[in-house]
Amino acid sequence: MLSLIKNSLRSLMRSPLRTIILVLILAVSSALSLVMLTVGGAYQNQLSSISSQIGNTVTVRPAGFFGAMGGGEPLDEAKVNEINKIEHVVSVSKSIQTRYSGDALVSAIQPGTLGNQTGQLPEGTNNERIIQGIAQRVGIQVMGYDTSTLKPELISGVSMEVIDGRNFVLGEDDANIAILGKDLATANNIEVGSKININDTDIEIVGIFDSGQRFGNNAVLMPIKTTERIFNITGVTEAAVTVDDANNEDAVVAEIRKIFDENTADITTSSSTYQRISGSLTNAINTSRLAMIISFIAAGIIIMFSIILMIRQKIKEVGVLKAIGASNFRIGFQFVLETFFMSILGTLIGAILTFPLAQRISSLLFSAGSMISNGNLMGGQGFMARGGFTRIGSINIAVSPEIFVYAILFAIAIAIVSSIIPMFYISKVKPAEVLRYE
Amino acid sequence: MNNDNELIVVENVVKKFKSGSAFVEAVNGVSFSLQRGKFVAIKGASGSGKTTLLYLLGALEKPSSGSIYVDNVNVSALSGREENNYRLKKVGFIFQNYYLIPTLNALENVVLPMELSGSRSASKKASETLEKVGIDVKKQKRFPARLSGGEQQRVAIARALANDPAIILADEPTGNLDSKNGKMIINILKALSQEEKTVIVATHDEKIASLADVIFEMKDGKIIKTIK
Repeated sequence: MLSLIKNSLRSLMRSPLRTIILVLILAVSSALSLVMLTVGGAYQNQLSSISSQIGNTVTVRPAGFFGAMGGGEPLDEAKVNEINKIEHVVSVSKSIQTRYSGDALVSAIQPGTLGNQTGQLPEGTNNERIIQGIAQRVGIQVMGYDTSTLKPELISGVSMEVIDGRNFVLGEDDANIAILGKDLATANNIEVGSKININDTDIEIVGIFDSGQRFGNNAVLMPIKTTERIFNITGVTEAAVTVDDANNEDAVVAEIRKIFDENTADITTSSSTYQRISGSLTNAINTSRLAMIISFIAAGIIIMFSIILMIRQKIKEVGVLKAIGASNFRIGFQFVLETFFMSILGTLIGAILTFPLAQRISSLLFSAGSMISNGNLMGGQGFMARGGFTRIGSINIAVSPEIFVYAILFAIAIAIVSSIIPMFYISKVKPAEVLRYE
Repeated sequence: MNNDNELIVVENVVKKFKSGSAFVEAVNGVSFSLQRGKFVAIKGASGSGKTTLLYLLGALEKPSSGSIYVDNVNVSALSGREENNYRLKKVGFIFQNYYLIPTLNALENVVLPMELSGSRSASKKASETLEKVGIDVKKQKRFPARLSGGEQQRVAIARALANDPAIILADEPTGNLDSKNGKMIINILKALSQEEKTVIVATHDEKIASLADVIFEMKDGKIIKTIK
């Protein structure tokens, strides 16, 4: 084996120009393949990330209700609980959204132009109060959650972190406690341990949270039963249903429709948004895969022809080896080794080239300006609407050291694939014919 | 079939090649038998069938008809691994153009067939064989391109002897050598026949023929004269 390796390396050194050219061709084609592999992987991760951001979620709300806007009747909680029994449903997170406009709390958000346009001013706001110089404020969002919900989503895509005090714990579903957004707490000089009176009930503030944005930080979170009791609401205003797979969303929606008809509930899914976003990324992934396959095949063909050329140049050597009793496999294996050494060198250079090239080629494949509507836009006087933008063009392509493992695998694959026909060619060489004419 | 004293028995061997739409009989009804340790010369003009007969004996060609027995084994019926083993262990080839592997040095060229046959301490044996044909240790490390024609042919002889074959087949072994080196090669081949190896040489060289125990003269694929 050692002599085979030595002979293969010497054979490569015997024609340095040919070896250098072939190594360079391999380096370029393997770099392209590895770049496409890396870029495709990064796109796939981005797609997964978007998928997890959007989630496999089906949202059920009372018909005509959206956030704290609109109208309609709360959903029957017993019926909402039935959703849990539907196949492919992983969990159902119930919540109640309402607004508080009493005197116990002052909103931290001024209505401004947007708030005034929506007409969502608190109750009791009238010209007289304006004349009296009492500041108008945006209504305060109140959200009631299952205490099992560790990180309630205040609005789609906006979560929260408790920065002082604590979150609710299991068993506190009907406790007179609340967690306040930090802006609301500041505006009302409220600390953890303070008590406020909402609709004739004393509520203890057990925590302060930060959602990272003004609208979320103007909210009050309460246990779901407490919210129902204090605000005299029977039922829930939103059920976020998590499905095991986005592909099962439609089936789950169909089952939910058997529980809530169109006059009772509006149902929205994340899959349509995901598909819209994933379309362009999927195209880029397919393009990168195609380019990877083409460059691999091109490398294989180039190397295969170069081996055949090499064998033709060394045809007498092949004949002599056969004449002294070497098997076809033994002779072919030497050429495979030569190819393998060239491939290893070429693909390792290709792997190194991947580092500076990956991000640039990704930018060519996928325009940095690509923006796809999916997110949330909100603000102003209790205004919340969906339809923001997610920028997915500027994907960061991180090349991992694992690329060298892929490079070696690529080299092995190239050596094997490109040796099949030359091996067959060697088996057909007749020593008497090639040695006859000296 | 041959008797126990005969190493090689050739029975009415014919080898035809296709040339356009017709067939050419390169070897046409050749029969002979040879005992061990004979020095045999096959003489004849170019195209008389010398090389083809040599290749048939070395299992590089298969006869169109007839049989070749070596040590009671029908060589013409061998295939695959058996054929490789026959070439590896029973015969050693020497060519006019030496055909050493250019990427292997002299020693490695001789080690190669030994390794192919799974021989142990191949390097030591190869070195001894090379010394026997006059290639010293220093020259054993040289690649073929740095050896003279005579030295390359001696390395080729050492390679042919690597697995201690019973038969040495040499095709015009002195064809590319000056008279001094040619004489040296002839002497080595003659000496080998005295070591119980059957040496068969296809040649135009009368000096070789004059040393032979048996001379086959060929014309148009037939042995027209046998001199013993």
